Amino acid sequence: MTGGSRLSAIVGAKVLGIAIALILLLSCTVRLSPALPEKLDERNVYALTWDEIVELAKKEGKVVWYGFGSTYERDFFTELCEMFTKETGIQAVYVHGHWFDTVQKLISEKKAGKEVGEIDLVLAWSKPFAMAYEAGAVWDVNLAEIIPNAKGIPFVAKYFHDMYPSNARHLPILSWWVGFLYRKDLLKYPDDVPKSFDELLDWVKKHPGKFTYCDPNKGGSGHTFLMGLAEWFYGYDAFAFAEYDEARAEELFSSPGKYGMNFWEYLNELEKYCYQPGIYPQGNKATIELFEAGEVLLIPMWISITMQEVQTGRLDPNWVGMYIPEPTMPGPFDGCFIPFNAPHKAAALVFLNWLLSPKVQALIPQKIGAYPAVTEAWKLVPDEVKKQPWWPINEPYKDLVKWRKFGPMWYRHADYMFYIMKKWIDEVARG
Amino acid sequence: MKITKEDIISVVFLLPLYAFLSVMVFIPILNVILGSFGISLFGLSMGKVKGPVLDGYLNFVNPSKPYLYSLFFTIYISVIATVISVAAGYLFAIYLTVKRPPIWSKISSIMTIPLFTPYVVGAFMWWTLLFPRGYLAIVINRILMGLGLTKGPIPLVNDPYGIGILFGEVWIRFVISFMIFYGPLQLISQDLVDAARSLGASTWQVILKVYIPLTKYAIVATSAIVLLATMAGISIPLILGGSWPQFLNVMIYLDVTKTFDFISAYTSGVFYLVASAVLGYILFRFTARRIEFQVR
Repeated sequence: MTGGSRLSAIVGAKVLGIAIALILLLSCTVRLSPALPEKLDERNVYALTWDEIVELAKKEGKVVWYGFGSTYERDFFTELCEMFTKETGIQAVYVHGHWFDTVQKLISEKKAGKEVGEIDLVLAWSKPFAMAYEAGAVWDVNLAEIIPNAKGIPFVAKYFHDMYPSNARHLPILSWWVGFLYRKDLLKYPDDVPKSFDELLDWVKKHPGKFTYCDPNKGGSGHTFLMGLAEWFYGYDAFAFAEYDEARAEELFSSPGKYGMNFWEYLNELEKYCYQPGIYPQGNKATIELFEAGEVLLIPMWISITMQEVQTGRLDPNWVGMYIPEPTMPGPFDGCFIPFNAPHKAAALVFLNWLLSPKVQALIPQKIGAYPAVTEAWKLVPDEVKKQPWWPINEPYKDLVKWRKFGPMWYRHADYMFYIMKKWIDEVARG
Repeated sequence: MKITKEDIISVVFLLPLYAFLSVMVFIPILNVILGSFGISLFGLSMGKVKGPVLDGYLNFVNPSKPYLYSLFFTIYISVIATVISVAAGYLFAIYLTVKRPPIWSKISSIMTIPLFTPYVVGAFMWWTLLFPRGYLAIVINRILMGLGLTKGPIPLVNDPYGIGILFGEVWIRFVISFMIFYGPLQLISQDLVDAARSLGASTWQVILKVYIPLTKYAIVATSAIVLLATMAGISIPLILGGSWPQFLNVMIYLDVTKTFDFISAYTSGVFYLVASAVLGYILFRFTARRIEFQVR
């Protein structure tokens, strides 16, 4: 190699070295001082790392969560907010209200063009979420792709709520479930109770006046039971993620299902042998009161309400037996969405992620008698909680992980359920 | 026509009142009326309905739908509750006026409990008394069965006859009626009663010939107040009523918060407003005329 070419090689190497150093320095500078956006929007949220979202959340410093439920839920959600504030330094405020008011407020704000609201996170079930979503009042972001802990939620529940496509703009945080609550001291499972919906009518005929269900328009245990009954009566496939059409609903529910009867004829037949035929308890509470008073021996009831009644001393735990009838009972995965005008969107994401953390999810069965949305969190639930009599005793429901993995897992269809609720007044209550 | 200074002053003085009436009465009523045609005034969701439409009205007057019968049931039960409350309240006020029991001054405050109890609490209280294991239900049913009037226990709450609603409504309205009647009865001069007595009138004759004629306008006015208040309340029919028939305001509540059928809710609201306005007009008009005559 000549002296000139050696010199040019050295110069070339130095230039290359300086260029590489500059590139590295530049890239380090970019990473060291990330240009965090002033606020999150539908575009930049996908480009940020989770750590950056957390950083932004800390800058926002506050999250306001609107929820609903019983006093048990109110106390639990308030406690969660206190825990979150303590752990993260981000102030979480819980507002206990009614989902209807919350959703109407958001829809009005959307129509009025109010770009910055007061609510960061809303706990909602399917229909209010659908109303808000269709009105454009929901932040149009796939939460499942952003929130790390969302991966533990069952796939269908992540993208559908009561068969309504949520597109992960709503993420479930828990699932309330309805089972058959029976008098354990008088009836033995499986011999003395209707193990399946197939056996229900016969059982009710043999035990007249010992079964009732909540007016479906006054309590969720009533309409969830009727939805489960309809899915058994006409087959789950008739409802599973089907389009809703009123004419189709009319046709379906007036067509023969089991016993050569249509759905309403079946319910009217059942009614003849129910407790005080023609009179339905007006709400979940009124229904379980009849059970507590010893008037009825078998009712469809929320697991959560059963737990709360036992814990408040109104229901004798020795009376409490719970199971899910075959083929199964559908249930809702209720959860949260972020409004379009949430002022603290990053904090809302971080809070939602925290709600889905295994530690918090494992508290849900213990505190309010609902199932966690994140299936694996069930493994962290203490055995003494799982042994309580309000949890279903039959297979596969005893073990949530097994149940969720292998089924049967049915969902409610919000639109057909609403059809049943409305039509029930005409066809059953007035019948 | 010349606008005088006095006219302008009176308009200025009354402007806040007009503004108040517009905001608090006119606009909400207009919103309900427009809503019944599927038109949203404040941007509230109307669901999939795009107005103007007559669907709500067609649905309401369709006898196969529950609304028309609900309106009838609401008026029917409200009238019965009003008759019982007004009669009981009036007779109790008369009893206190005529007999003046000394113990009354000590226990009179107990009477006011229903007035200060939230309706929803009162309704739950009655539910626990009247549900099949409630002691009142047990006592009533034992009496009825003992007399051979019924073969088995009859439902006294959440029943299709509105018995539970009547218990709850009368409990509250009776006290209101009594409180309204008690004042006017005390204003009747004792001289009139003494004069009637000196002419040989019995207690019933004093009541029929002295007290009732002098308080008949109070009876009509009280009936109007109680009737309209009973029709408007929701807590009691919601908790003590049955699945069917239902008060129309329970139907509205369910349409709004459960099935999101806003147009039906608005239409029921219009019929409610019309029914209340007609009944209120008849009763108040009658009362106002009579008071006018009395003053003359």
